[in-house]
Amino acid sequence: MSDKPILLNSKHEPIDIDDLLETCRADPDRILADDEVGLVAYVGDMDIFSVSGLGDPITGAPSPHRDGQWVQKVNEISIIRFGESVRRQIGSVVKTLAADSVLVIREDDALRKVKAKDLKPGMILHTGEKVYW
Amino acid sequence: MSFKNDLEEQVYECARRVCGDAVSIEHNKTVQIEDAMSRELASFVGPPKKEIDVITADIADMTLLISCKDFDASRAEPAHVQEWVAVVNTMNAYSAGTKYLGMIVSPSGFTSGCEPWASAHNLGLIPPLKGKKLTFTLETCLQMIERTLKALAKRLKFQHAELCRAPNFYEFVYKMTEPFEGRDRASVEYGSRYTLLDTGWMSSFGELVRMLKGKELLSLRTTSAGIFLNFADNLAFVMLGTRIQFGPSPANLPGEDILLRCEKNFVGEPCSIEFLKTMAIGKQVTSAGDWGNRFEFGLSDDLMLAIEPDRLQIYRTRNPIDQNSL
Repeated sequence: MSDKPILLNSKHEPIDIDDLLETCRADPDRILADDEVGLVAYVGDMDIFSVSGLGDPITGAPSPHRDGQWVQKVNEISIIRFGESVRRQIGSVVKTLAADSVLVIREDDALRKVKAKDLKPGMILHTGEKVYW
Repeated sequence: MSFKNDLEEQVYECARRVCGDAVSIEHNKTVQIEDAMSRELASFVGPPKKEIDVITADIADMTLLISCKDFDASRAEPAHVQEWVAVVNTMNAYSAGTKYLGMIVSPSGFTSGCEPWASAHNLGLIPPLKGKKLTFTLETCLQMIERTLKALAKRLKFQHAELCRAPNFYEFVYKMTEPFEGRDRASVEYGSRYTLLDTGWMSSFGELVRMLKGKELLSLRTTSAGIFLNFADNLAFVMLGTRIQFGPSPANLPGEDILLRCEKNFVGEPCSIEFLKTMAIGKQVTSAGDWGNRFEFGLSDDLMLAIEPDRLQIYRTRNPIDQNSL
């Protein structure tokens, strides 16, 4: 995850990342790292989701969820203290990504890794989401 | 205890700091599979074995096998990764219950061909391969190992079966280590100019702005140790010579109170510190600038508060300058 993602709880209601981190801090084992480099918190068992688009990333079908959002489960939240960041629209969501975030894109019949800063309009992530800009 | 080289010794000591007695090192260790009852192994005389140099760390129900590659200037190549893939995969394939994860430490780096092998077979690489030529110091590599092992020890307290599936452990190690590039770059750019008050961690101009922007200046004090500004939400800015500290306000301010040269307006007319405080206190930070030997806070009402180790200055930034004097 990049910093400042749009996060949802199990009911798909928006939650504040700072509140989530406070919850994580109550269980020190969840804070995998908190140092000069940045912070990484484990949330894999907390039913936390990030918004990734408005429709099925592959078929475009409407989300099965009532609010119409398409979501992906989040395992870890990472906040980098010294990273460059880039803004990209992926699917229907504009995201702030660490410039070095690795994303997997489809290329013909294969998958390829690219950094967030190297994403180009028109690329399709392996999840089916399109990069718009 | 003997070590083949400095790298091995330092990686071992680093792992010991995190995992304690659960870490061991063996040279020419004969790695022997746990379950030799498979028919495809019948051609071996006894259980298959391989001699390796390995640092072993038992963390929760996993055993991490760390291989150290000390190649001076040349980088580790795919063959080195493939060898460790073979070791870890074989150990897992014929395990009687122990789960193994593999990691390779090569401070001189890895050639790009290493990534697909490490990723496909779930080996952690330190330092991370980032698709460009990066060099990390041994000190940074050791910090990466320590950070990764600490995080792994915590991560394994939660459900972790998926970490054993490629490329999840590879990506876990990558995530824990890749931000060091930014940290090291900031270290070159800022040196030790910015540090956080509570932790002493290195910081940056950007983090200072993010923390103090919008905060109201509550007080300003000058002592023989430095210049202290307190902001709302119990935050502080401290200039100690050329160094800047910021973050949660310290409980005690060092040094004796002193009078510092204070000036007003762009041309630098003398003024009292009381006048300067009257103008600045109660205002919010709207911007900031670092000019090397001079730090400036933009304050609401177009005021600029400039802080130098031996001088304070306040001026209004409206034009024309001569009609907006303080």
